Amino acid sequence: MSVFSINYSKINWKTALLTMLLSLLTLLTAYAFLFLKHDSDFVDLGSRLLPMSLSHPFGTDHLGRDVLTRILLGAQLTVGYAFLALLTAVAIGLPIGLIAGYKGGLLERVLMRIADTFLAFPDTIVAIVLSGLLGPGIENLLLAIIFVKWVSYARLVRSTVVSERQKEYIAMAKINGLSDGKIIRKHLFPHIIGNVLVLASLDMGKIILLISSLSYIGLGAQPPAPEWGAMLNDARPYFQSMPSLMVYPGLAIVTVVLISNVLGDYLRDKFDVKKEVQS
Amino acid sequence: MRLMTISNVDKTFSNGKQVLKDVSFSLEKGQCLGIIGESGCGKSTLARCLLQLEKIDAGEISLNGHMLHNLKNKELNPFRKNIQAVFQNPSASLNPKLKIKDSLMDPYQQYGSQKELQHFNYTSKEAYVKQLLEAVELPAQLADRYPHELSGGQQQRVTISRAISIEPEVVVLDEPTSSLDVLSQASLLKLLEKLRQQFSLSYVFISHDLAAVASLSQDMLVMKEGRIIDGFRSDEIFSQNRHPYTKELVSMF
Repeated sequence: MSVFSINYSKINWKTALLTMLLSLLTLLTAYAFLFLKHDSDFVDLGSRLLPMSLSHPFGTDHLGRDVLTRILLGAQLTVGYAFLALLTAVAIGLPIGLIAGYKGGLLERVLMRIADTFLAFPDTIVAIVLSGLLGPGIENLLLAIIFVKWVSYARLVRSTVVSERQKEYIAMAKINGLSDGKIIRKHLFPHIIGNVLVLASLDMGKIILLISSLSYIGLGAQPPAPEWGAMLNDARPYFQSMPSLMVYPGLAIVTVVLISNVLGDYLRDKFDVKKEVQS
Repeated sequence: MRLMTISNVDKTFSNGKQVLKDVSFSLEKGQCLGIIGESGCGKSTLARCLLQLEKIDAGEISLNGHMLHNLKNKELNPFRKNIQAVFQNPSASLNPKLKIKDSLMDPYQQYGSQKELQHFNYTSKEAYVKQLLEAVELPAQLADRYPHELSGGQQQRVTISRAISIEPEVVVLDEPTSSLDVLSQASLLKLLEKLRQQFSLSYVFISHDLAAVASLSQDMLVMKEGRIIDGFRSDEIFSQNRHPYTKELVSMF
């Protein structure tokens, strides 16, 4: 069951859209890597708020920085940080859910009540509180995201394991002398991995939005980091005269969130063994 | 030759309900022993106890003279290869996310190195899986399918082929035909009988289906409320000496 093998008879619009968006992004990043000569933090007050031109395809911002460069480098920043937060949340949530679901009993109850406690905190509030306590900055923002997000993975993995654990194929695996580790690896992981990947790719969009929106209100990335939300904030005073300064980072956010959502749908279909046959 | 001995087994669930009371019987080599009883009489719990999936509270279970009931999971491994099982619901007995060939490999991957196989010949995974499927009269191309692409009867044949894949001595059949239609039941019973002779297996055939049990077993036990209340040779089922409950079961059938 390879996720990335494409069966050409089964291409649907989702796959097509996903491929298109991903190649667009790849092309843009390649373009940035090969052709952009600008430094994202290079301030040139002589060329501030320039409209689009060949040397500045997206124009320049209020400090004369090239917008395209900042957007493309911001992709690395925003997507990279979101990915990091997600990876950490999964790395914490998955084993906890696995242990709780597989072992059951008192351990399960204790772990899941702890998880429920974390669930009580809304992510925005946690981010604001952490910024207040530790000072604003992207690291503290990531901490807040991980703090809130790991719970949903623990709960997802636990519920998957609990529903599969009682089935007879697990009993058969025990009769066949498979150790707990082997049962988890061979029999439970195929169930877990699909669910986690789907949730993670959907969460990716949410986390990017969260990072951007909190950076927009000044709690996340600090200037001069070319984070998209922070760029939106920088562009606010020039909205009347230079709306494109807000449009480009906004479009970038929309594109990436869209990709992550389509990717989530795609993975869900891909991991659903039953659906693959029917379509 | 006595293969398995079960003596004075008691089992009480944690909610206080006693499901097995003083259960004793023995299984001869090559024999099919039928155990019948209505739903909730403790048949499936008995099967789980025989398979060491549940711990018994009192009594003894032995295989070839080795006591099994007081062994820990790791210590059971040398014996597990000799006791296999087929459960009632074939779709739950196969991992829906694994292809048939991967589900079939579990026993061999675990015990293949400890046991010299007589009937099957392991050269490659593909060849071995093909032999397994042939033994239960299934086409070899099913190996690459997922369980939901098979019919109930085919799924149950797959679980049977997994159960015999390392040529165990005992197979515990817990309602193996109950979820199938009448025609599949008949052909499955025929297959089980053929396999028993071919692989010199012993069966513990647990079911509420009197006809199925009677057709396959040499000896039968009747269970009621956790006790074994009657035992006889299958051809004596209509005898006047039967327990009243047995007579009732027979008359309903």
